[in-house]
Amino acid sequence: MIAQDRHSSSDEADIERRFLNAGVVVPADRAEGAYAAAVRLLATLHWLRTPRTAAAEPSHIFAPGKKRS
Amino acid sequence: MSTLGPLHELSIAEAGRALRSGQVTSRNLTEAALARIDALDPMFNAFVLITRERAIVEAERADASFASGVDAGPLQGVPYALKDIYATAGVRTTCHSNLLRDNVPENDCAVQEKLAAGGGVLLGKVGTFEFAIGGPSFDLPFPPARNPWNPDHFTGGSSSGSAAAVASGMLRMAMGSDTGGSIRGPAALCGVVGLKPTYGRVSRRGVFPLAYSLDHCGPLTWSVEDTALTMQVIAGYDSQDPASVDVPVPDFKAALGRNLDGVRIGYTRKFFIDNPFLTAESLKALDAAAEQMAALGAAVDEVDISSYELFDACAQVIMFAEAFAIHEADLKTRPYAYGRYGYQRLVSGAVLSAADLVQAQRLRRELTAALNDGALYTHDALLAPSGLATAAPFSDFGKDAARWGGMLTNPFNVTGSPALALPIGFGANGLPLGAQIVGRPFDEPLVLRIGAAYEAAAGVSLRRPRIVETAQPS
Repeated sequence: MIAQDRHSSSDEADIERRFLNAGVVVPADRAEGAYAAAVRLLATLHWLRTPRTAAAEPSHIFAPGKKRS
Repeated sequence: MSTLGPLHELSIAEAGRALRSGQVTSRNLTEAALARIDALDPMFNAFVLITRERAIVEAERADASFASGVDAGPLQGVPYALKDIYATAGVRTTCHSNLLRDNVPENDCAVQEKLAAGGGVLLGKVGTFEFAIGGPSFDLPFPPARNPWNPDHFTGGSSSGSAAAVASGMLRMAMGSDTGGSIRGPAALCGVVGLKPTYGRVSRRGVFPLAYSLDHCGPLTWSVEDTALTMQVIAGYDSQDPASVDVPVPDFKAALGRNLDGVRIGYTRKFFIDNPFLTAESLKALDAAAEQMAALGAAVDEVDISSYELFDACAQVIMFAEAFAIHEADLKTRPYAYGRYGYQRLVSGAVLSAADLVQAQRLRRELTAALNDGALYTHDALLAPSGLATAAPFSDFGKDAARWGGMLTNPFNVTGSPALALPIGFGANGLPLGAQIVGRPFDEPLVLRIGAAYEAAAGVSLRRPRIVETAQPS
């Protein structure tokens, strides 16, 4: 039930750059798990970028139900 | 007293009747609960703090209220516990982290204010994953909670102590929080009921956030009725929680006991059937639950909702972006103040960009509209898994943080929908399996009605773990 994570050295270079851009220096003895968590997270990003038409762009943010008119 | 049976087996409603008829006192209930905690907690590590003396004082106060004719509601005189991210005035609140191991808040959180005003008896604080996200860690101030069905297995998280305390019968209700499934996951894996109410239904003021826009507060209990009674006390608008919604508080118990005639339930089978973590025994139990609901009068058919990958991407990005923002300063300056799992998970949010977060928020609105205008328009409620398998053993967890893949709960944090986890059977290893009933925004009464009808018919919730008090985890 534990998801297995594999990543390449190019993944690691990208992730290291992202951490540094954010001002984070990950301690070496915790890097493996932190990088694996980052890989898992970055792997989800392509799902967020589906093409949209201009008309489909929402102009307001999340609400759990419909607003009262 | 003997006609009541073991006090820890009394439901909240039964305890309430016994308290009001004079068959039992709150002090009796409280002392019995404390004795059970003393006997069992060394095995299950549910509690991180027991407020023994305070509990006795509160119990005596509740008894005095009953004696003077004051009745503050269904939890008066009833013991409960709070996940240790709920701020309690004068009572240590650690978030299960070394970072806050000496933190004593000055003010109660909103839920504790309501529970105290309702005459409840606080027994203490129960454990969590570090800051409600880390994992079942052994490098924190307190050990992880263990599953009462088998203490070699974890409880799920992050409301791990809440689930262990309720499942083992230390008490009937403990509050949890749910950002991606942290009420429903432990409820499923420990065989208890857990409600993630609609986003905005229960105030989060004073509860340490994991992710502001995904966090929900809700109860874990033995039964659906216990959940309904708790909701009656804790629900309601709070102007100091920006997400709180000013809608009427319904009678959560009113529809309990009715059958499911006329209720349209969409079974989200396609949503999870190809998930690699789904076990055959979970699928069998879910199919049987759908059939049981149909036998109770519901119109049950299969329904499509957006793919799990979309929901999961949205939930993960928002959760880790918000969580990193909350912890940014400490993650950068004192990483070793966090446990290993907590640090590794929280710091991962640093790799996200602003555009990633906006894309996720945009998708969130689309997914929410698609659910409310689609499956939850054609149907009154949905049946979905809360867990896809039984609880993993602790031995499955390595030295680094990993993702346990057995949950399908975070879609309804994305949508803010009310979702009730309840047990639906057991795996071959004797550990519980769970489903969730998902409703329209603020339609908790229907979700609870479906849950109660299923619970009464299936009888799964009546089965409790056989606890051998001398057993020790290996």
